[in-house]
Amino acid sequence: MAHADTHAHGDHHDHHDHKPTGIGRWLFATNHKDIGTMYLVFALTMFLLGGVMAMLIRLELLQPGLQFFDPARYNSLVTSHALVMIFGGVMPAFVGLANWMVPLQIGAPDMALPRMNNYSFWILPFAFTLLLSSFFTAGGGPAGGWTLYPPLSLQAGESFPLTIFAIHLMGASSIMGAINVIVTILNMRAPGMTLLKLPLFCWTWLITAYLLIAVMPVLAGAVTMLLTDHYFGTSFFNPAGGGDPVMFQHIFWFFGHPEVYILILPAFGVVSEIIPTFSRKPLFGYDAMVYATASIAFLSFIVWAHHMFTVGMPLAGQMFFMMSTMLIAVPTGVKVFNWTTTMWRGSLTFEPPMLFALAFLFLFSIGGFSGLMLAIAPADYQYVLVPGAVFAIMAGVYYWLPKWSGRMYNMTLAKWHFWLSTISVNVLFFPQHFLGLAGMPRRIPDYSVQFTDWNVVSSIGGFAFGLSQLLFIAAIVHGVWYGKPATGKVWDADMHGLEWTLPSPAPYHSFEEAPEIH
Amino acid sequence: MNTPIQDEDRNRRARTRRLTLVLFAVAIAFYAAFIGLSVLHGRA
Repeated sequence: MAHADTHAHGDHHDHHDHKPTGIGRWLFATNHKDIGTMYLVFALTMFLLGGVMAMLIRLELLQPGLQFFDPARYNSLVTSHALVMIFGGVMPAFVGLANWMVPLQIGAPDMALPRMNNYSFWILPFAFTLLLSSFFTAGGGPAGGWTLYPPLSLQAGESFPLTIFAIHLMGASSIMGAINVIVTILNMRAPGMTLLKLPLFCWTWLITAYLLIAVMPVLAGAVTMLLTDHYFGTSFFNPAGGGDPVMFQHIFWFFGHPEVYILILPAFGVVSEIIPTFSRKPLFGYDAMVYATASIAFLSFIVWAHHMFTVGMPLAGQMFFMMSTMLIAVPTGVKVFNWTTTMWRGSLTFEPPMLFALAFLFLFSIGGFSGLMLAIAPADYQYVLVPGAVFAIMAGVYYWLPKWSGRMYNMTLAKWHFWLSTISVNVLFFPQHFLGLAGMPRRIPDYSVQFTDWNVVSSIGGFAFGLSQLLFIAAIVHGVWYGKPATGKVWDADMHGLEWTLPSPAPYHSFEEAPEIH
Repeated sequence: MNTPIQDEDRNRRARTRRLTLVLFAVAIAFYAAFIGLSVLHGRA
């Protein structure tokens, strides 16, 4: 435990101060900043890979009929796109942000379990190599959708065990990451930092980490049972052997719905850090935000069957899941209200992190409102995930990058990235509402001709969104290498929070002596 | 004789170890519970 080392082995300070070099620095990394950087680079790589898959999907949907992919290959693309984006893009990106920022925000010298931190990162490249290598097996990649519903998913070819093992590895990585976050936040806070003084990013991550520990093993259990059904003659989900395929859906969504909040709660945390900074006001209703986050997390465990309204549930069950889903709008509304009220009469400026946070607020609310309506009958996942989670990650990167790199990126480039992304993401996803209302089913490579026009618009938006992400990379690379030096406070002379007491870039070893919080 | 800082350090290590083990145990328990419940569901 790095914190303990600082006190107990003070004579080793010189040894601890040097920065490892070469490939060993990354392979054997235990420094939270190095591991955070690796997570973020990995997530960006996966985000680009999943983005290429998305553009191939949109390419196929540009016209009715089959153009480029046979239906099986198309299904593989859809399934892998989801798995890559969720488990390789969004989740590792938030773990990267947590690795960088949690120790800095709580005044700890590192994460509590640095070696486990290393394992949990290095599992991921192997997991995704397994998943993606399944594309080269007989029968192609996994094609049953990211929800892996049996019996469809059991009909996969040789990709099946690779996918299952990859999911197990991703789960193990997430659980280790979550344990690390919880132990760090509960045990490593600077003296005087009570839980209700914890920055909201840490709070949302603490709650997310509990969700992860509760539900990733459930996913692991579900896919283990798929594996035994496929190879060991069990009949968990096979009606012919006395099993129940609907049970898989219940187990999957008991994981799947909290998973949605695993993807969005840290985004709430990032936005809760950014909006007060660029409003020059403290966050309105800090305590309410904490309790709202906890309430959302609790409610996320009792709404899972709203993903399965069509399986034939008793009316009482449908009513329960409908009501509990609508109840989530209450704490979410508290959050949106508090962010808006934080901005009320604030001295607002619109730097790139704030722009992304505001787009998050507007577009997430659209996604959330449609979710509320859909609670009444069966969801628009894309609107919540892309302008929700992904925009919050971009906001976080633009917000903290000067603290990480010590250099300020080019604002004009970042603003171009913002506007092109925001416009194109709406061109991409908004027409899909019209297509859905007109009766176009999801996850099909071919469609009736009357759906052509809006599909063309959506595809153009998709290509534009994909290409505009090149500006994100350009802004980061240009900023890190050629940006102007950033100050310690970066955004404003009046920045609060321990991370802003450090110089920019944050030194390789920070808070070796715990700061006092008053 | 330990200094107070060494004592605090040792306590913190112990708390870290304990909490880590408890959290791993919770994760394994959830895994086992869902498979166990599924077995029971099949027998019911």
